[in-house]
Amino acid sequence: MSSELFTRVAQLVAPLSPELCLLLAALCALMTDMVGQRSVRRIRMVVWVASLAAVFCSLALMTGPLPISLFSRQPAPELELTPSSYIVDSLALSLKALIGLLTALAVWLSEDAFDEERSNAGEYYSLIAFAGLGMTVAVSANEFLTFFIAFELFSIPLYALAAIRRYRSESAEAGLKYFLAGSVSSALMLFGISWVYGSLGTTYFSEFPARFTQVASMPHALLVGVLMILAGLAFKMAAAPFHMWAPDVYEGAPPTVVAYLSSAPKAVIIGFCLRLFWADLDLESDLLRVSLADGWMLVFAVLSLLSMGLGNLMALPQVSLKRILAYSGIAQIGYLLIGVTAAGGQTATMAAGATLFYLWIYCVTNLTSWAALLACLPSDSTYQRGELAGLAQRNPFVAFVLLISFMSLAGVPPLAGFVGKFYLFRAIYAAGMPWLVVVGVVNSVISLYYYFGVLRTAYFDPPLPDSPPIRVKLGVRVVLVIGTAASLILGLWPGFALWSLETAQTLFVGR
Amino acid sequence: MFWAALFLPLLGGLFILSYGQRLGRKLSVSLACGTVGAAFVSALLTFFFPPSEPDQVLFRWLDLGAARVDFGAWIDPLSITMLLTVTGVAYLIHLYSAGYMAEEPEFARFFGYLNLFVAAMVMLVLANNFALLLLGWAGVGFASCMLIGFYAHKQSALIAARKAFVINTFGDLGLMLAVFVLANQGSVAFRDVLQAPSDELAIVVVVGLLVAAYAKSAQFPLHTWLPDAMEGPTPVSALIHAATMVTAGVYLLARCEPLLRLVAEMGSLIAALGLLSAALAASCALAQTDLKRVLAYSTMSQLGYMFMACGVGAYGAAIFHLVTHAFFKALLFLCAGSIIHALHGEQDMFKMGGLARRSELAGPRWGFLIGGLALAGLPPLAGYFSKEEILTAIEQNAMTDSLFLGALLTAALTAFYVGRAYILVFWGPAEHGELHRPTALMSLACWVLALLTAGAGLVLGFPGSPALGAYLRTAPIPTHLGTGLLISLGTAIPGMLLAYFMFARTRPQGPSSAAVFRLAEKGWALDEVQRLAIIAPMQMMGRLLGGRLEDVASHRLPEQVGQTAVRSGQELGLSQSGLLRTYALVLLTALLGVMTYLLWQVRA
Repeated sequence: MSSELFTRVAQLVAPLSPELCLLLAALCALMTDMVGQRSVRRIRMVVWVASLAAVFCSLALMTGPLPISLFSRQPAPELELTPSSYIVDSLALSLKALIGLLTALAVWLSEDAFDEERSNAGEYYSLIAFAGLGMTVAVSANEFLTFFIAFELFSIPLYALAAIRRYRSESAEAGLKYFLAGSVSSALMLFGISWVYGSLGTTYFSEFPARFTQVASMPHALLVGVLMILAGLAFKMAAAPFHMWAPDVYEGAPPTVVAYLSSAPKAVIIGFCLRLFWADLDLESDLLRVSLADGWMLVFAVLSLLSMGLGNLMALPQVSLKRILAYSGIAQIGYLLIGVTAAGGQTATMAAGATLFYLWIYCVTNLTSWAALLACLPSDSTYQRGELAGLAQRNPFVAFVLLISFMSLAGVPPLAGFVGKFYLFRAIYAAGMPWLVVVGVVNSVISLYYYFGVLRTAYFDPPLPDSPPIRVKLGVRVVLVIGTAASLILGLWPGFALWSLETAQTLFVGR
Repeated sequence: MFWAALFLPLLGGLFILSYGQRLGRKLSVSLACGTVGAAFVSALLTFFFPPSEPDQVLFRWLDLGAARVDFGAWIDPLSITMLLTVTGVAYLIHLYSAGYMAEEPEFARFFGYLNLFVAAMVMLVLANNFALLLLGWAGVGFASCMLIGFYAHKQSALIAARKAFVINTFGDLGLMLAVFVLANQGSVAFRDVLQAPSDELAIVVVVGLLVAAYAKSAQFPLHTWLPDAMEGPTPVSALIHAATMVTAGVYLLARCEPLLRLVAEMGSLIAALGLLSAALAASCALAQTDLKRVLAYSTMSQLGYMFMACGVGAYGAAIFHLVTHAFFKALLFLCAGSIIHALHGEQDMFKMGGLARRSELAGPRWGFLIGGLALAGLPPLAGYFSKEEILTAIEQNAMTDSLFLGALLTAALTAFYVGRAYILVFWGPAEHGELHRPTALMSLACWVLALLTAGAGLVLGFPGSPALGAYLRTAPIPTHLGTGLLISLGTAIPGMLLAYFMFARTRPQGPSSAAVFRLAEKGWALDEVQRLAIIAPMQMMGRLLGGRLEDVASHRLPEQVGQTAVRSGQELGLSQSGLLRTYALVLLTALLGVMTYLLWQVRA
């Protein structure tokens, strides 16, 4: 009896172990704070150990039988499949591993970053852990309401984190702006979900194709609904033309927080786009003059084009490092959307693999770039490009990290970013949109200008006379080493990431 | 274990380049020698305990759709032979360098690049596919260029380094062409390409490979960089420009034998060009005044023999000569280095002379004598057996007799120039003051190489029981001791006698001023031909384009484009008002726009 119970609990707990790790860490951090045990180091260690444990659990689960469906509902009488709201497949697990890694890196990065971190350690770290939890749930969501709840679960802690330096007006403004913009996107998405539910009668992704053939008389409402959901998603990942909040928020929020909120949520949204649009919404219908799949490919292609173009062009005149990175992030989302576009074509497996690969590279490199800036600029810095003058002489290590990260973001061989972009371009070429390759390459050239502008200041300008010495803390140094090693290794040995390509195969089995 | 032969020198080289100067001379030199020594040990272990499968994949390296590239080694008798030769000779020359470069202040740069060279060379011979081979191929070119220009204060060294790099890069282009064609056909792995070569575009692949081999092995018409490469330190000349790197072309041809077979008519061309290179270089060698340049031309000439052997299909003989040549040419270079070292950098043979009477230089003298006699092809030294095998193969397989006759004539020329060099350096009346004594390490390396030169031929290639040929599993070449001896003595003895009569009886005070000699000394003015035929037109085109077109195309136009981009960025930036209501408006407008478009599309 008891052993049977144990087995059933284990069956439920094991697939959820990454989520449970982060949940425990978040609660633990909160409790420690409430009890009054304000040992910052201990709280921090709990959270990073839990994040790494989540990475480990995700990777371990990947070796087992997949996919695992959880929280199934009674099947509808007229349909033969059992819909479940939660799915643990290799796409979800690879993203969970990425999110766990990014959370751990963000925690290391926060060492003594600013005052709240000292006084409100529990609050700060539990918010990070809660955001990580929300993201790990979101990538597994196989149903709209589950996704929406998870979406809010990671969004709300991020709003609070953006405003965590509340005594500073710019941080408060950033938090408020992020909150308002995020609310608009949530509202749009929820509204869109209601349209989809209204037209199909279900929120379970796995039921969509069957339902669609039954109630195919009203594609217009479905179209409107899906578009609203897409707008909400695009808003969250700051894809143009839904990007405008990003530079303002990045500029005001504390850099440690920005490092996290500019990378991890993008992983969730891109993963969700892959799952939603190409696994279940790829609906063929004679009713539509344009096949709907082609239509979505076009929408994604336009989003990608606008993001790359606007992001890169607007980054050109910037001298604020935060805004450069913000616009660069918008442009990078454009590259990722190339992969999402390609995933709608004939070579879906290759494209999804390429997208996941670039997602890993982008998220880690982006976080490393922020870490490098954080390491060499004082905490009261305004992040102007000129402050980096003479970095190569003041601290060659940080300058080298910045060089590798920026060159990888720009896509210079033999670094990881080049390989990632190569795979993306190959995927979209195979999907039959060669013009997007041209756009992507031209944009990479444009982006060289602002990336190298920063590097030029760091390497060739003489140091300012009163520049303070740079001391890099241990946690930050760990982040820098990991990020740089990843850029170099994945660049020289792309085969290393093969498993993430194979990840996609399970997702698209049967296609 | 063969991976140790690659990774130890690689890591050692990178470490020495980064920290060697801080580490101190003793530590970094021991590290350099130690890693290469360990590489040799691992090569020996691979020889005694070879893996059962030739294809040894370490990991998947690149994934390019159809063509997947593994990071792996191809361990067969050919690559083991090359590995042993490369690491063995490299180890000896590392030891020698420890003595030779004892006063060099920038030892870290020297030993670091020397180690990197060994790593790249090992990668070249171990690679199990053409892409990895290309990596090693370009790597040795890079290391060679850095080492030729090692004495960076000398303008001539820098120019020589640049020249070597440009010509070698031209060769790399040929190899790249071959790799791209093969990759397009589906695979660059030896496993696929060599075991089931495809006829399609084989001519392009073969021509690409030949261009690469000719540039790397300094064969006519891509040979002009090799004599100039002697600007580098002497151990570099011995290791890179005599024993190992320049033989990579021969290795490539031997490795790609199945591909070359597809284009049968190529064989005669390879053989003919090989003879041309051999004869041309020998004729240049006999007019040189600089000791090292004699040896450089001699290297090119011997490589010509190896290409001739490849041309007539005797790959085993080519590899045999490659191995023995590595021994005796390294020996000659190291002895020449000891002499130059002793004479404080003097390289002109006409200013040497009389060194046979100096007891300090007895070692280099005997070493040079053994190496020289091996080069001339006298039994029972190593050079005799390998050259014999090549000559027999040419005699039996070549289309025309003229190839054989040319090869014999070149052999006589070889004996002549080596005799001339020996007489000019060691005999005669000249007096020298204080001499630099070669250090113990330098002598040790020379003695080991002398031993190998004396014994390797007997062990590896005795007529009737060629151990190396059996190991490489090539078709045996029926050589006869009697006729072999006759041929060898018939060419070498007259050549040396001629040298004796011309230079020993009455020692000339300087090089002959006859026009033909001066022309030969300048390498038959092929440099000038190249300058006029290739460089000058390019420069003219450059000036033509550089005048107006460049100003517009690469200054004003990009400037305009760039400024337009920055300005548009600024104007777009104006939309970034900081007001949330603006952002919401943009959002809704965009959403409505897309919605209208899509609804309009599905309307009918």
